[in-house]
Amino acid sequence: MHTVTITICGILLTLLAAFIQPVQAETLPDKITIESLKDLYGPVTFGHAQHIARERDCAVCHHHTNGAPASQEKCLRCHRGGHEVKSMGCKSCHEKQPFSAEQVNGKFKNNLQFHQDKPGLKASYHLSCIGCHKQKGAGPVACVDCHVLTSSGEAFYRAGKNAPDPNKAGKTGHH
Amino acid sequence: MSGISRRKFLCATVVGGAMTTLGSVCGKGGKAWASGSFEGYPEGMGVLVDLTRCIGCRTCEAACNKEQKLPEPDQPFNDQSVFNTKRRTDESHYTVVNKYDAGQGPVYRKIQCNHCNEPGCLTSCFVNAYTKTKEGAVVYNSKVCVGCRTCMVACPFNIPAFKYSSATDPVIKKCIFCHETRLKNGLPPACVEACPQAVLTFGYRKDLVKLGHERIRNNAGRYVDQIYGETEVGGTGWMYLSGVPFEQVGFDTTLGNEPIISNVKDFLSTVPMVLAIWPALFSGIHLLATKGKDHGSGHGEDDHVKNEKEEPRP
Amino acid sequence: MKKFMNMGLLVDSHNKSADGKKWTLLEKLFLGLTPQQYIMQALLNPFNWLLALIFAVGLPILAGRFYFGLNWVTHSSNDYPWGLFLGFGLFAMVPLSSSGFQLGTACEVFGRHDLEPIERVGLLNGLLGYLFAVIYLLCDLGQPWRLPYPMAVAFGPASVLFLVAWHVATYLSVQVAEVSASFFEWIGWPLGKQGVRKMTLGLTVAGIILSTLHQGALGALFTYAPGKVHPLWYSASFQWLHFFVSSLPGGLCMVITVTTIARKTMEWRCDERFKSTLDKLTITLAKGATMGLATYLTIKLIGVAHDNEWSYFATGWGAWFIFEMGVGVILPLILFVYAIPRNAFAIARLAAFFTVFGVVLNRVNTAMICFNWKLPYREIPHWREVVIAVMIYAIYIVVYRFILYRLPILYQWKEEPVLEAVAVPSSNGRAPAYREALSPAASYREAVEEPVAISSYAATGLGADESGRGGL
Repeated sequence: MHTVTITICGILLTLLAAFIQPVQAETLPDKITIESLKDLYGPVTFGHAQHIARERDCAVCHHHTNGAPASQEKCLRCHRGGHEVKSMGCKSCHEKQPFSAEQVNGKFKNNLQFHQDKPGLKASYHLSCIGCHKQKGAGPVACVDCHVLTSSGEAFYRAGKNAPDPNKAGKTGHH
Repeated sequence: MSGISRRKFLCATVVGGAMTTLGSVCGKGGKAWASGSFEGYPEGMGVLVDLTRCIGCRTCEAACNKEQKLPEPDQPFNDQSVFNTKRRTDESHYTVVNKYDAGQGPVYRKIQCNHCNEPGCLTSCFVNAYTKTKEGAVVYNSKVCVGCRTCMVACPFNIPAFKYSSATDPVIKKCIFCHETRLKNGLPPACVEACPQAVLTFGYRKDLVKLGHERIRNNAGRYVDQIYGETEVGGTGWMYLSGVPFEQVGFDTTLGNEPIISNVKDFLSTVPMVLAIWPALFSGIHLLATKGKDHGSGHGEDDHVKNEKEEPRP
Repeated sequence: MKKFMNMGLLVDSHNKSADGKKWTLLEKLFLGLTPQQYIMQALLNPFNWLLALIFAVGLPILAGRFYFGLNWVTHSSNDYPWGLFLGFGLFAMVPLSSSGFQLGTACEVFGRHDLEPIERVGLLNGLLGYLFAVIYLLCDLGQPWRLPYPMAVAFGPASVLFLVAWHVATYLSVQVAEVSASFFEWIGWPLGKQGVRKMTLGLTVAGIILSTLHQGALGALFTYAPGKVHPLWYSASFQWLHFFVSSLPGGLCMVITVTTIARKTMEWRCDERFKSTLDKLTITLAKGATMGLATYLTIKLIGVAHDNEWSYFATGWGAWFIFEMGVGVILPLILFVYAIPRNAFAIARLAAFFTVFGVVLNRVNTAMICFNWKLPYREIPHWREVVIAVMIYAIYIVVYRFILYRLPILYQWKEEPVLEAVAVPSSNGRAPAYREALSPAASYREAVEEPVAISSYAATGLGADESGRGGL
């Protein structure tokens, strides 16, 4: 009896999963435009579909959040079965302001052993992208490979039309 | 015992000693000096720098320049050619990133003031221009800076720079943890906020020490098992994690764990003793040496004559 | 200068001649010459031309340093914050000025009145050394106008430099007071001298305290930089003792050097007492210096042994250290040991020169050459920095000479009261006043020449002269 119930449930669940996943996939963006640094850089377009096709494992970027087992060993201690979350976007967990007073004061305050070392949103992007690209030896790694400076970005980096006059170089720096 | 009250103790001792008052004052001072080192304010902030993450983009330098309104640099901040030389902090760069070749690929290392728990610059300053704030920043008051540059000698990390270019207002220039504009208001320093790679993690120093050790433990083989700055020269607010031995990327690993002031305590503790003992000692010697002869003033002439007479003439 | 002797215009008392006519201040300033004569003799001295050249080059550069900033005269190095002005000017001038407290102590505290003929040179050497160390410092400070801040505005009492500042400032005042005795004699204000005289013992003891502490404190300054000074020049436990102990022979040998030069170049200014005792006193100083050098050598070696730094001897730094110790300490030590029992004055003087060189080299090594030994480059001072350093030293020489020419340092001032009391006419070719007045000083001179006079010296009732010490 029990066995039957479990089997039926299992089949149902499998069907349900098979049914749901294509639906989810349809809501998955093929391309994501990231504009969180828009005052310095033009928008960056991320080929989501392209990465899915290449990686085939959401956990590489999304950890355990789609319900699949986490990919990193240290995460498997808790997330062996995956823990699904409502929104899988990076910004739902990774803070835009990781060093706000609230974040800083909250560190080590609760009893959660892990997730104390969670990078902020900007860092998550960069650590994931550059880290993986470097590891695989493929994909953009240098700043300009993804980023185009806006005019305020040029002002910030003193680049382009804001570049220092090379004739004046050496006036400020000393050894 | 907090740093402030300890320094006040030192003050009381030296001033008290200068007046050659009572031994009890000196005694108290001695205890104060022997009272161990100052571990930093419990609520002091810090930054954990993870060298394995740094990609040498120099955004921190640009952010620092903007936040601190520093002069225009010689090269743009996205120019990687600066890595051809090893740079140091100076009057127009409170932080710089240097590149090291350490076996497997380049390692970039950001340097700035490490905001020591017990800073050498602070203890060496004879006009007390430096302050370790309760937020953990080492700031300075350029209004009283005489420009003697002893702090530059005393800094084990070679950080304070001097505004040599100014004839009228040359003072010390260094990273102040963005204390005035940000830290005081509960914001992280500009470089931390700008860093795209989370090389810089801002937080309470005591949390960062835990975090650093966890990061080492959770990433077996990625890091050298040491947080540089946890104990060096008494502990620093800014601490480093590295994937290669620290000395290979320009760190001085011979500094030891004692704060700089510990080296100087030996001498400082002799000061009140000399002030208290010498007058009696030498006055006593004078009395012994000149007993019945010269009592210092007034009627020493006979003695002179005697001396002259006794003098065997060459 | 030899002309003075021939002209017979030596100002060494208030009275120009036997009839009580006094020197005016202007005459005293011009050494009894007319302004024309004075300028003439100055122009005839080739050394003055050298000085003029140094000032011609140096003064504009010094002005530039304050107008354009330190950037213009130094390499504005953040790694080597202290250049020649401090490395040489402050750290080397101060130990060579320890003579002030040593001779003061020997004469006033230990009652060694036989050292009196050179006591004042020692005091003056101390005063000028400190004064010019401060002048070097003023050139080096970013904001020299804030130098009084540690005294009045902001206090950092846990800082070694705070002690140095206070001690040098106080000690400078003590030394001004000590030397002012000869100034009061020269200017003719006995009351001032009496006042100073009363304070002598206090001033001298204050001098010992302040000197012990800040000579040591200059060494202790480097204990702030344990990783930067090469281990052979650094000793966490003994740095201040190394500096203090080496300052002792340094100061004594500086006095030997200065008196040797003074004896050679301004013999007309030295009186018989000075000239006749100098050789013997040189040996006395040399004995002191020998003890100092031997102690210094010992504690340097203890320093090396204490921190187990022997392995550094095999490096280039070790060779340089051996050179410094060899030429600056061991060689003079050997020379002194040879010279003292044989009364070989010339060799003792040579040894003194080497000692001075050794102390200067040690300070320059600690502050500059062996500083930042882990850094890949060494700082070579900018040529403008060298020019200013040389020029300040030239000013030092000029001021030193100016004072030695005038104030009763190398000679004894002939006091007025005695002159009035004993106006026995006598005949003396060159300067009648000298002999005629049986002033203590004159009789002292005679005493040196003819022992018989000693009794008269004592019999004249020297109580009339309030000065118990050198300034008779």
